[in-house]
Parts: sequence; structure tokens; C-alpha cells
Amino acid sequence: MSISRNNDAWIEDLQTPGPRKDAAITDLLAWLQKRLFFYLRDRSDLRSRHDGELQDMSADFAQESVLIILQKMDQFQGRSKFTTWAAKIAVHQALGELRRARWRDISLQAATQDGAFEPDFLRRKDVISPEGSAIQKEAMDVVMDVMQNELSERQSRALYARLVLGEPSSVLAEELGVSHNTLYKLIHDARKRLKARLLERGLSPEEILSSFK
Amino acid sequence: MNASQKGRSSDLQNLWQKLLRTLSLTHERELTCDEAQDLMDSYVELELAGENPQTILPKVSQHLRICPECKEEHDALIKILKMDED
Ligand SMILES: [Zn+2]
Repeated sequence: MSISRNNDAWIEDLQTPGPRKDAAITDLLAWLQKRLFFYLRDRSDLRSRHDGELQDMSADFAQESVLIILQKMDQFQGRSKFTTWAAKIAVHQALGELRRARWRDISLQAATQDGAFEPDFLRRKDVISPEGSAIQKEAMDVVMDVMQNELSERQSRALYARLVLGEPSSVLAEELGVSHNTLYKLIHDARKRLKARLLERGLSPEEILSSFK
Repeated sequence: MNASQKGRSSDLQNLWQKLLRTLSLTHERELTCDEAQDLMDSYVELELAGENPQTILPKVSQHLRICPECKEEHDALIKILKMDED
């Protein structure tokens, strides 16, 4: 298998319709599928799956990835090996799908439980360890105050969904009707605000963390 | 306190620590996931070549510390590319 193509050869082959392109696609598919299969087989959350099932999954992921790779060919700048770039796209695609599938399972289970947004999720006495309780209580009050009064509801919800529920960012971005980048900035602004308010009160997150020990 | 309340309070305790760790890692200027992803292939190649990507691409390192999704993808990519070495 000519996976030993250099970057120029990959680009040329994949952009020359006909047998050269077909051969390059076949090689790329096989290369990705094999690696995705071994990766999936190594994942602890997929231990119960049979090899046949994992083969199917890796074949699907590889196919979807190759379609995306072909669409994005003009974005390949040659800063890395072509196969590294292709593997990056495949990993992003595969792990994105695994996260969404896992989230569907979790949210189905949680539908009857307490998956809903709790704006005052931290204001509970039992969260504070008896050792640095004063500093922790003060910090927690600041955090809850900022979340309820300074951040937009969208920001608080986004932060809660990512941090507390572990909702995948692609799912959350879709729910909020924003791009992935916008979601990142929304949460980043929220984190910056929380940190700034803590620091204004002389409370550094590192110091509060060390009060747990 | 019953067992489930105890579980819940240690979950909350973990959550509180997670939030604090996230805040301690928060910087004024951060790469977004898309920006970090753009550099990820270069980043892992440096790493696999035995270089220290942290000194060359420190903002990607910072993003990986704060973003569990990109970190997961980074780790997977390293695993997958290492298969070529074996
Ligand atoms: Zn990220």
C-alpha cells in the first residue's frame, strides 16, 4: 500500500479524477479504518462491543472522514504530514459522533432525573469542606452571585451544561443556535468574569483549591 | 446523611474543585477550539518528534488543559499516529 506517498503525491492523486484518485482514496480509507479500529478497541467505554461491531463503526467513521477530507483539501497547508492532517480530521469526526451518541444515552436516562438547570447548584453547605470553609464560602457566594446577576442566562446555562452536565459542545452549540466558536467565547467570557470577580475580592482560584488539602 | 446524599455531596465537591481549576487555568486570551484544532497536527508532530510543543505552541497547550474535548482528540491522535511507529 502506498501510504508512503509524500504530501505532494497525496494532493495530486486525490485531485486527479480517475484510477489515481480511486487508489488514493482506497489507501486512505484503509489506513484510517485500521487505526480507528485499534483506537476504538482500546477505549474503556467500548469494551463490551464485539470486534465486528467496532469494525463497522471504524469503517463508517473512516468513510465519513474521507468525504470531509476531500471537501477540505484546499485547506491543507502542508504544515504537517498529509496523513497527520487526515487523522486529525478523522479523530475529530469520530470522537464528535461518539460524544453525541453517549450524550443521547445519558440524556435519555436523565430525562426523568435532575438534568435541569439549577442556577444555585453550588450553594449547599455540604460542598464546603470543614478545613478552609470561610474562604470557600466566600468564593462560592461570589461565583453564585456572578452567575445569577452578572452573566446572561445563556452564559450561565452554557457554563452549567458544559461543566456540570458534560454536554458536548457541538450539541450545546446547536441547541443555542450558535457556532462552536461563539459558544467558546460565550463560556470564555463567563470564566473571565468569574475569575476577575474572585480576584477583586482577593480570592485566587489556586489559593481556594489549596484550602481543600 | 444517606448514601445517595453523600454521593451527591462529593459530586458537588468535585464539581466545585473542577470549576476552580477551570478558573485558575482561564487566561485573558485563549485559542478557540477551531484555532487549536488548526494547529493540532503540527502540535502532535512536534510532540512525536520529541520536541517540546509547549514552548513552541504554548497557547495550544493552554487550550488542551482547559478543553476536555480537544484534549481527548489530542490523546487519540497521538495514539493513532504512534501505531505507525510500532
Ligand atoms: Zn477545544
